[in-house]
Amino acid sequence: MASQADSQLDVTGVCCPLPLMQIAKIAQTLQPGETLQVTGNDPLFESTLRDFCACNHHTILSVSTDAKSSVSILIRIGA
Amino acid sequence: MSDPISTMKSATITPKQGKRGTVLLVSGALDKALLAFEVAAGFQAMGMEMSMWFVLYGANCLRKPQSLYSPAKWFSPLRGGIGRTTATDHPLQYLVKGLNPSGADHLPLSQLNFGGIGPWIIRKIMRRKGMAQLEALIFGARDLGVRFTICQICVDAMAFSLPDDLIVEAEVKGVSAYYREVMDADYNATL
Repeated sequence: MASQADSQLDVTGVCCPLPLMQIAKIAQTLQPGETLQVTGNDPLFESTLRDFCACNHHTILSVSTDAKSSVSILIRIGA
Repeated sequence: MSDPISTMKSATITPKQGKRGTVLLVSGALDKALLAFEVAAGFQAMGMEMSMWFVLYGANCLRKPQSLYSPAKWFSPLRGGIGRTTATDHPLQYLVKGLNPSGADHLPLSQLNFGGIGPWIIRKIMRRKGMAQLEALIFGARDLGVRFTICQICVDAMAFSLPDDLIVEAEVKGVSAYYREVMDADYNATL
């Protein structure tokens, strides 16, 4: 899964609002249609990313949770 | 754990929806400053164009760090700068400058300060939890494109020498500019 994404970002170990700030930074540098794989273990991580994608016209392609309760989300950058 | 700020790239956020917001920080307390910067940086990251205004003690968090016990904090001459009128300076401004905490590192808590132990406890917990410290939030907000503005009469009364005394770039404006921004904005907060 990770190899499919154009860019990857690991925000493991930091809390709200740092994951949001870092994802917004990276998303700004990507072209529409590119994909971004984000991994984090903040309790609010998934809802933060869903809100971010809803407000900025990005698409969530897949969500997966691993054994150490870190969530990995693949998003496609919107126009 | 990677350093939260160094992983960010240098491009600023350009808002997509054309929404604007302002946060006015009056308080010099660590808890309120943290909240103001979290809201401003978070909203900017969500796509809103944020502008932060600092008046009175709120500007203390933007000052360069200086210990309360350093002679330079108390005795260095009052200097001119953007928005300053040095002709009307008063010696009591040395006292105002010295008594106000310099830098995000030295802010007290609004409650449970315990003479400086409170902020130390809060910082320790936040570091342990991987939360952003105030300095990191200030630089993070700046990197995301949040604009900082300081009230001109506060700059003059508290004898800030801009831009030398601040850790970030800030504009110096008055209430008319604040009015225009507030009326244009979709979100306004005062702390």
